Amino acid sequence: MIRRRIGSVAVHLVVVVVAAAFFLPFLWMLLTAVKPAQDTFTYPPTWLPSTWRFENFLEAWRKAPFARFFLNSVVVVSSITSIQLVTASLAAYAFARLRFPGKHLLFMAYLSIMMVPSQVTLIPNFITLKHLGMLDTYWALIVPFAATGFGTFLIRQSFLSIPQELFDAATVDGAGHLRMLWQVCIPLAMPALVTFGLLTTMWNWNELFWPLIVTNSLEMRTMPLGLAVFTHSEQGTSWNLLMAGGIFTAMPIVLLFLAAQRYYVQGIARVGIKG
Amino acid sequence: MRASRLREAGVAFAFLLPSLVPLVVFTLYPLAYSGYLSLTEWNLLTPTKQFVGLENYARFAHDPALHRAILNTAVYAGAVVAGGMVAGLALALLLNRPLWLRPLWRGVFFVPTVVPLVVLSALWLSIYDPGFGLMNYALRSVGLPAGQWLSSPVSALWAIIIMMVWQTTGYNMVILLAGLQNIPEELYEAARIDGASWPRVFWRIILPMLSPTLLFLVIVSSIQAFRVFDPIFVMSHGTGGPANSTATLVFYLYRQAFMFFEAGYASAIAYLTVAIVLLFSAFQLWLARRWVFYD
Repeated sequence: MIRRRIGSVAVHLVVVVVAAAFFLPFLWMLLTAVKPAQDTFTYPPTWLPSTWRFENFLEAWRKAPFARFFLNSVVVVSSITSIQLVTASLAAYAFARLRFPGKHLLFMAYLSIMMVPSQVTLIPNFITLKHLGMLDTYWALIVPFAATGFGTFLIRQSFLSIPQELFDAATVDGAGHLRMLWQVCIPLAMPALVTFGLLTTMWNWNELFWPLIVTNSLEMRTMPLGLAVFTHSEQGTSWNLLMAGGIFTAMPIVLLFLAAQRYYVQGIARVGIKG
Repeated sequence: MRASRLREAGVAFAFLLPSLVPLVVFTLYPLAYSGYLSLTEWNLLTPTKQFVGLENYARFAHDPALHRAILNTAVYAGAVVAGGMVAGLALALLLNRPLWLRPLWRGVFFVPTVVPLVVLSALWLSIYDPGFGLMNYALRSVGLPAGQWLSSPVSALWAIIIMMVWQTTGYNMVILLAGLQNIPEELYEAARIDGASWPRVFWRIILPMLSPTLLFLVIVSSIQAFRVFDPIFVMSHGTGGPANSTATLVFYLYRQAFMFFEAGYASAIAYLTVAIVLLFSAFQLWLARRWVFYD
């Protein structure tokens, strides 16, 4: 009994030490963000600021056009998520509920497209967008992501689990396919739609590579790209402002995660795909 | 009857069109087009491309920077996948027992997975600062020598690897914890009755029962690791340095295409990258027939 008690204390100790390694960097970030600049150049480093400078957030926000970056990210990410939900729901309905020639083959094609790595499509897509005159616009950041093989797959699975009787009842009421999708499938597949919406929102919010390639003006940068460039100019000179900028960039997605943690963890445990 | 069939196919076509068009234009066509580009020499700007056959692929053999990028990618992927897997499994085992405040710990380990990689990279840049950073402070306070981290070509890639192991551990932990909780209690019961020691339980029950989950994680995290870009770009100031020590394949591709405007050569590198990932995944699946246990 005593041995077991000691074992449990030891396990808790290990957990606390490991948790510290995961938690302390973030605490460091939060505290550095409110330090005066000279505090970030002392050795040994101090945890608490000598004076608490909450103005740092304002200063960082002004030093680079973060308001604009933020707006760009919100416009781009919310557009991609809504468009993907629409295109994927429509395609999922066709694959789950309709009969048409070549259905199986086409569905396999959607799945394989999901596997095509973005490196291979990178240069041709850049050229296509250039020809369409879309470089350095919202279009370039949104249009290539209008369809999603992964979302189609996830939503189709959830449509397939809806009992046939519900469709029969709707048919008796004279519902067409669009109404069937809107009034039967969408409400019942809400958990899958929310999970997919969350995952795609997080992935797209974090995206750095694509905005780096298709934008070049300061005004078109998204939050992660804006922060990456800010990092190159501020690191080693203004750690405090850099950490404040990092907090802006992470905040929306962390809040979203906290609000919908259950859906998110279920989502990755079920599909286990990231990025 | 025929008419209604036809009508249904028409509806299906209309429903598929909004996703089919972008998939063809932005995935299928580019897949083929970059195959063609890889056979040309082109600077992304001039109207004409020069057909050079397999010359870009032949260039692979004489490009030391590419060899370095392949080596960096292999070291990075191997270390991050192995490290993240071992750490994730250790944490999952730790959290799979009666624990005070368990949801809190699980949440803490998961936080790095949620924060954008660009933000984590900026944070770790400050942690790795050789003069004032936390890392050297922590090392010195336990009597270890301080390091140059991102400023030295010897340690820069490893500094990024350490950060990425830290970042992926929480994700692996959540998936492995779900796997652990699916192992039936009777198996542990039976082992206890037989008086099996803990290492035996681990090797004979836990690992085989987790092997499908482990295989899945190894494949997903390797694919992820092979295409690493964000931390390299941010932590090397967009150079892949010092001295190319952190330039990975995708980073090298990016430089060839958008810094040196070698669209043809970059397309060939893209195909090389994909071929490596496919071969590696196929190798994993082949190997898996020997160690994965399905009940």
